[in-house]
Amino acid sequence: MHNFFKHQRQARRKTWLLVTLFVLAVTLLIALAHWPILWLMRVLDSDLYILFNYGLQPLGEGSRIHLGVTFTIGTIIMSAVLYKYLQLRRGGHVIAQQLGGEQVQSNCYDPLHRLLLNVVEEVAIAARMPVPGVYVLKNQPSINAFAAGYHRQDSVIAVTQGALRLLSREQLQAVVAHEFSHIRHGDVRLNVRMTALLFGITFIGQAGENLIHGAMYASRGQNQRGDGAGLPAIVGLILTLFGWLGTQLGDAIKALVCRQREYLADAGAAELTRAPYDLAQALLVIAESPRKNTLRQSNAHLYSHLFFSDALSPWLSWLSTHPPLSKRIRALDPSWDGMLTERPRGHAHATVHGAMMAAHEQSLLQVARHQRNSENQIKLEGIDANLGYLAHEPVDAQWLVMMLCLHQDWQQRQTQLRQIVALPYVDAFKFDQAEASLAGLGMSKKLMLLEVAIGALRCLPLHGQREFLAKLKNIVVVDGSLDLNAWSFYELSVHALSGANSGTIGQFNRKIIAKACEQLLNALASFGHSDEQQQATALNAASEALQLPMRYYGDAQCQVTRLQRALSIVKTLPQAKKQVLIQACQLCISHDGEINEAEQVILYTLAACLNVDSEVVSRLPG
Amino acid sequence: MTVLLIILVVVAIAVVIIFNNLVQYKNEFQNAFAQIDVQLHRRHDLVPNLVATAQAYLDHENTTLKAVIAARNQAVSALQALHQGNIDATKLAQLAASEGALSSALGALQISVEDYPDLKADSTMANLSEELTSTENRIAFARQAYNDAVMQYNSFKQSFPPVLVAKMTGHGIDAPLLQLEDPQVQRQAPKVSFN
Repeated sequence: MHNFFKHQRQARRKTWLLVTLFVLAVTLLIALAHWPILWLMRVLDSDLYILFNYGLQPLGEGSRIHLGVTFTIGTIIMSAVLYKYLQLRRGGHVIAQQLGGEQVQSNCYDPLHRLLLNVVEEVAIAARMPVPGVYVLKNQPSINAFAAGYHRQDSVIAVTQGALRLLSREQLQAVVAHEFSHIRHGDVRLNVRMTALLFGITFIGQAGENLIHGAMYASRGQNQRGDGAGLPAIVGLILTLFGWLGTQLGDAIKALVCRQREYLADAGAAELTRAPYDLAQALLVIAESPRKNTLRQSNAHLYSHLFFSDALSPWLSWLSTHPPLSKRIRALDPSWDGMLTERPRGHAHATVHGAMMAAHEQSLLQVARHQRNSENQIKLEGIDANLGYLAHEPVDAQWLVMMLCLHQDWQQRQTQLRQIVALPYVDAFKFDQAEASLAGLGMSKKLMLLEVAIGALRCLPLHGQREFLAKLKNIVVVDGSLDLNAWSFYELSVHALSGANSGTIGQFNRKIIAKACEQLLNALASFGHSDEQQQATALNAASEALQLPMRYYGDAQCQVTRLQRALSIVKTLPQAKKQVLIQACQLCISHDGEINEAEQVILYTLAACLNVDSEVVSRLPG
Repeated sequence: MTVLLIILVVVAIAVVIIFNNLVQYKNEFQNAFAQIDVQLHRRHDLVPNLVATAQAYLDHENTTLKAVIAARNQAVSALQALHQGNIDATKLAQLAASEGALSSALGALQISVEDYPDLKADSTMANLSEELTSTENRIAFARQAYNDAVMQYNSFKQSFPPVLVAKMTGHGIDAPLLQLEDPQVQRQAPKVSFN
């Protein structure tokens, strides 16, 4: 963590270098574009004034055409840059999907994917960072990996199938650590900016390459319709030639900006794993592999600077985005003699993983059953293993969350249970088991379970998530009444699944906001204190803190419904106001010096739904 | 007079900044310790599964399995003891010792597994081995992160201006590093006998 700010400063300096180079490249392109246009004007013997100078004041014979050409090309480049930037800003998963990556689910059975997940989680511990999303580039036999993302939270790490098969566990760990240090050093954000900027000058050539690539695969796939592939290939070739200069300039900029960052990330990986030798070995495996280490993917050129080692082999060595492998190996392992020996193709996982692979190939089902029996991978602290297993399965997690929302009242509970059992995806046997083991769990364990289950629910398709939320809403409200715990679980799942982009318009009416705060704090006060006198004083304390006059309702009915309505209004407040409100809530709760479970549950839910940190949250009862 | 006042204000600001840094570093290493804790629990939960699977194949090597179980139970109680009260050096040393014993017992078990090709090929066992390897790595990395955080805290505390402030504000004692239980034993090469 020491050097984090230093790295950030370096990354920022690199950004300036990038912008300067980009401006130079654009100027060069525009200057060169004048030639063909002026030549075209002379050949056609026409004034292209209408085409390029539309809406511009005539400035004089010489300058107006230059200005027009500059303006037009500038606009085209800028809109391409903006398009790509907005696309990539959404997070690392966009890039991973564009490169053909598939996300590794947390409940996967494939031993190699399990191993990859384990390795990523291990390195996350060493780096003291959240675990990023993990992707695998299937169908890529080469050894490579990349990290992408805009913020730390939405970063992903992707590894090719070849790297999984050919590298040993330690080597894979070193490669993952290299990618982690790219995220840590802020390189991923630099890369997003660079990709977006360079897309402005390379998109014509890129489009050509995509067309050629598509035509190649189309002709390979369906030979009987050979005439279809010709035209796109020719158009692609023309576009590639047309955009050739832009592509080359883009490559040169990538090489200038990125190459040094690789040494830095290698050093960072060595710092994380304290095993520079393993990283050197991984690089050696790439250097010695019998086939070329190029990536077969149409988008690979655009993202070539993201990868662990060269994803493409450029025609000039100084255009390559990465330092030569031998130099990187020498930096990590000074005792290396520089000898390369060709190694046979095959698996690296000799002993344990060999057995795993063999078992896997024998019978996938058997492995699955064994894993289920051994229960080791999804063990949650202090929670029955069956529940942990259910919470990791996207389909089962749906009804598990519904089970969490059961009411205290026996009659209402029975209605809910009947509704849940009627769902098509509920297994009656598992259902009975889960009901029995849920009964013994405390609130904090249940919240832990909910967190895991939500992770699994995110794996459902979007419409599935929406359907689930609608169903959950039906089940949570029984006969128009709502239970406190059920309300809490429902709000937490809605918040986690629909997220910040639910698109509600902010509430500006001060009266409505004040009313909502009043309802919220009234509910809090009445849940926290049995005595009416105490309730009133607690409310007073909070109202003084907020400097809002509040009326005390007395112990009225329907407190939870009131909470729900108030929360939906309070959610739209600006962040600073939310903070103040949560502080007032804390004051109201801790007024009598003791905090009971209901108060904690309410505060936990409020803080989570409003995205505010609260200290009481971490002290839930077991 | 004003000069004196300005100096006082500057000193006060510096003291506040140093104190805040001390608190932040302390929280960081305590959080890092919590990470180790999580991983140790993970290992303790893994051991019974491992033993249950291995038992079917190596009944007559019961001593190895018994040793693993005993070491595991000791480690669990050492971890529980640490949860009562603050992190101090003696309890940490105890935990490190019992975890070290568990590590060597598990190592012995894995060596005896090598002699049983059937057991090694068993998919549950292969799976458990992978999980065990992963957990060992996690513990090692968590310990590394903890030691890094402790080093940061200690060296900040001992450097010049903070050293004046640290003692007054309750940051007197150095935070303990988590070490291997008996470095002499660990560094010894394994004995090989031919008879």
